[in-house]
Amino acid sequence: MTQPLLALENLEMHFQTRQGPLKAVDGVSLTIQHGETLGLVGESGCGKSTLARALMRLYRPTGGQILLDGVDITTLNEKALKPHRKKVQMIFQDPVAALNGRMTVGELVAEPLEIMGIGTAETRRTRVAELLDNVGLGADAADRFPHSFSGGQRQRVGIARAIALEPELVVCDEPISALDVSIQAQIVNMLSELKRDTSLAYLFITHDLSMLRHIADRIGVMYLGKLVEIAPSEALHTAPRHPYTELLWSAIPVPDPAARRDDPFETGEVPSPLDLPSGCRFRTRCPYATDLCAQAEPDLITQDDGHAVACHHPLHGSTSNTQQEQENA
Amino acid sequence: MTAPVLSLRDLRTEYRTDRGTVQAVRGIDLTLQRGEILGLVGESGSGKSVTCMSILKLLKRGGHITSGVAEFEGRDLLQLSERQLTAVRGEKIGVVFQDPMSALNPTMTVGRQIVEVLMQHRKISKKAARDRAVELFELVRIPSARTRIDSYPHEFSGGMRQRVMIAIALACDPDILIADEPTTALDVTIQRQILALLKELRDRLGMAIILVTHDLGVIAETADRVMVLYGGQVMEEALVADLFAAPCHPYTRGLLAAIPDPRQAGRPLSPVRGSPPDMRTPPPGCPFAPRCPQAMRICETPPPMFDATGNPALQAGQRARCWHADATAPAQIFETPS
Ligand SMILES: Nc1ncnc2c1ncn2[C@@H]1O[C@H](COP(=O)(O)OP(=O)(O)OP(=O)(O)O)[C@@H](O)[C@H]1O
Ligand SMILES: Nc1ncnc2c1ncn2[C@@H]1O[C@H](COP(=O)(O)OP(=O)(O)O)[C@@H](O)[C@H]1O
Ligand code: SF4
Ligand code: SF4
Ligand SMILES: [Mg+2]
Ligand SMILES: [Mg+2]
Repeated sequence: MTQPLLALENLEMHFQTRQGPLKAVDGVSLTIQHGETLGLVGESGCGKSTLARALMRLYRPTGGQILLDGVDITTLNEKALKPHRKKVQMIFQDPVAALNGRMTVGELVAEPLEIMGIGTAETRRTRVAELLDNVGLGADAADRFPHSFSGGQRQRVGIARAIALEPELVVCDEPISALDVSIQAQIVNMLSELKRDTSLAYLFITHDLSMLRHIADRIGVMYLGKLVEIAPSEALHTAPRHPYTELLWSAIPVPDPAARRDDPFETGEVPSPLDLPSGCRFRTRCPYATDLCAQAEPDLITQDDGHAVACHHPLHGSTSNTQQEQENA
Repeated sequence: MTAPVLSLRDLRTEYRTDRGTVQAVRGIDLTLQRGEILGLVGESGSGKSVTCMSILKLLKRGGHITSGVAEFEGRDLLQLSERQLTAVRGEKIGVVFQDPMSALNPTMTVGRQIVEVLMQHRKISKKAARDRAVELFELVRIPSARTRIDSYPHEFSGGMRQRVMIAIALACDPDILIADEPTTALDVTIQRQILALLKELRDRLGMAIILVTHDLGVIAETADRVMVLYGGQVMEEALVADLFAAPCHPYTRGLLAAIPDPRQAGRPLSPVRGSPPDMRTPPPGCPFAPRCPQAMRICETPPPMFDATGNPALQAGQRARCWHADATAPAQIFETPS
C-alpha cells in the first residue's frame, strides 16, 4: 500500500481535570489516504473534536504518534511545524465565530496566503478572486463583510480560506450542523466538487449519519475516546459489526412516515468519561455483553476485508476477535 | 370534528432591533386538536420559535405581537394579564426549550425546582410535592428517581437534563406541551428516546404537543400533522403521510428532495438553490419566489392559502400557499416571468 497521507498511531489526548484525568482520546489508530474522505461519528463528548484538534497539533498529544506524509509531527515545535501546517487546514462548525468581523471577505481569504508569505499583493488578489469563484460566492464578494452574509455563505468563506493554501487534508468539524436544511446539501456538493480533480482528502466529523453515507469513502465510529469500528462506508451501513454502530444506525430518524417505529427505545446512559467501565467501555449499554466484556478491553482488529472492529462478539457473521486471536495463537 | 384545544389566528409578531424591524411571523393560523402531535418544520429564522413563544407571550426584548388571537379554553391568551398568563404557563401549557441548561437553575437541585413549580400552582404540602416529583421522574424514565432528584443540573447528561425539563413541564398535567427543538442538541440515540417518550405521553395522558424541529426525519417519526414554515408564514399544512407522499408546495418538495437518499449514495445531492430571505425586507410576493424553480409572474403577488375544496392538487385537510395549487386560476397566470 502507498504511504498514507495521515497516520495516527495510538494517539492519546488526556486532560488533567479537577476530578481526575479525562481520557478524551485514548489510543486511536487510523489512516487517511490521499484523496480519501474519512467520516467520523460518535455521540457528543466522545472525543471527535479533540481528535481533530490534536491531529492539527492545536494540542500537544499526551501519547502516540501523528505521521503526516511519513513525517512524525507529534512533538515538533511551532517553528518546525510551520511547513507542515500548510498541508492540513480546518473548517469549523460555526463559521461566524471563526471569522474576524472587521476584515472583508477578500482580506479573510488572503490572510493565510500572507501569513505563509505566498505571492505578492497583486497575485494574491487574483488568487482570492479565483478561490471565491470556486466556492460559488463570486469575486465580487471580496469587498463585503462577513456579517452581511447568510450562514451558508459564511461557511463558503470559511472553506475558501481553508483551501487557499492548497492543503492535502481538510478537517471539517461539523461543517453543516449550524446550517439550514436546504443549504446543507449545497455545501456538501461543493466540498465534493472541490476534491474531484485533486488529491484533496477530508476528515469529515458530523452527527448527520445519513449525510456521511453520502460523502464518506470510509467511516470511523468513536465511543468514549476509542475508535470502535472503521470500515468502508457501505459496509458500515449495511453490515455494522460493533453493537454500538448498530445502535447508532437504528436511532437515525427515518424520513418516511410509512416506516415509523413506535417502540420505546431504551439504550441506557453514556457513562462519565471520568469513570469509565472496566473492560469494554460500551458494556453498560450493550445487549450482547458477557463476563469477558467486563474483564478484557477488546482491541481494534482489522479483518480480511479491511473492516476493523473492537468487540469480543462482533455482529454480522464476522469471526469473533477472540476466536481469531485464539486461532492466531 | 371536536373543538380544537388551541386555535391561533392571524398571528403577527415583529422584533424591533437597532438594525431594523424583523417581521418574524406574518399571519400564521394554527389549530391544535386534543391528543395530537403537530410538527412545525422549516429553516432557522422561519418563525417557528417566535410562533411558540408568542402563544405564551414569552418573547425576548424587542418582540411585539402586532395582531392575532390565540384561543384557549374560551379565552384569548394574547389579551391576558401577566398574572393570568403565569397561571396558564406551567399549569395548562408546558414548554420545553432547545437548550435545557439555560432554562434550569444551576444552583438548585432539580427536585427543588419541580417542587417549587408544583407548590406555585397547587395547594399541596412539600412532602406531597416531593412524591409527585419522584413520580414525574419515573414518568420520564430517569433511573433511580428517588436519589437523582437531589442532584444539580450539571450532574446530568444532556439527555437527562432534557428529561428533567420535560418532567417540569409536565408537573401540573398540562393540556398542551410546546417542545421547541427538544432534541436538536442531543445525539441520535437520546433523540429517539425523547421522541418515544413524547409519543408515550401523548398516548397515556392525551396531551396535545407542538413539536418544533428542522429535521424531517423527526417529523416523519413523531408528528400526526405538519406545518411547513418559511419567511414567517405557513407554506403548507397536511397530515404527515400526505406531506411526504404528495407534497404540493415547491419549498416542501425542495426540502424533501434535499434529504440524502441512501440508494443514491455518492451522487450529488439536490439542494434548494439560493438563501433564505432577510426578514427585515421580505420579498413582496411569495416569500419563496426568489428561490422557487416554478416561480411565475403572478408570484410577485402574495398567494393566499388554498385548501382541497375544488383544488385537486390537494388532499382533504391539506393546505398550501402557492399559486400552483389554484385550480380555478386562468391559464395566463401560469406565465413564467419575462
Ligand atoms: N480542554 C479540555 N479540558 C478538559 N476536558 C476536555 C477539554 N476539551 C474536551 N474535553 C472533554 O473531552 C471529551 C471529548 O470532547 P470533544 O469536544 O472532543 O467531544 P466531541 O466528540 O467533539 O463532541 P461533540 O459531538 O459534542 O462536538 C469531553 O468529555 C469533553 O468534556
Ligand atoms: N430576540 C430577537 N431579536 C431580534 N430578532 C429575532 C429575535 N428572535 C428571533 N428573531 C428573528 O425572528 C425571525 C424568526 O425567528 P425564529 O422564530 O427564532 O426562527 P426559527 O424558525 O429558527 O425558530 C428570524 O428572522 C429571527 O432572526
Ligand atoms: S466487547 Fe462485549 S460489551 Fe463490548 S461491544 Fe462487544 S459484545 Fe458488547
Ligand atoms: S407561489 Fe410561486 S414562487 Fe411561491 S412557491 Fe408557488 S410557484 Fe413558487
Ligand atoms: Mg465536537
Ligand atoms: Mg428556533
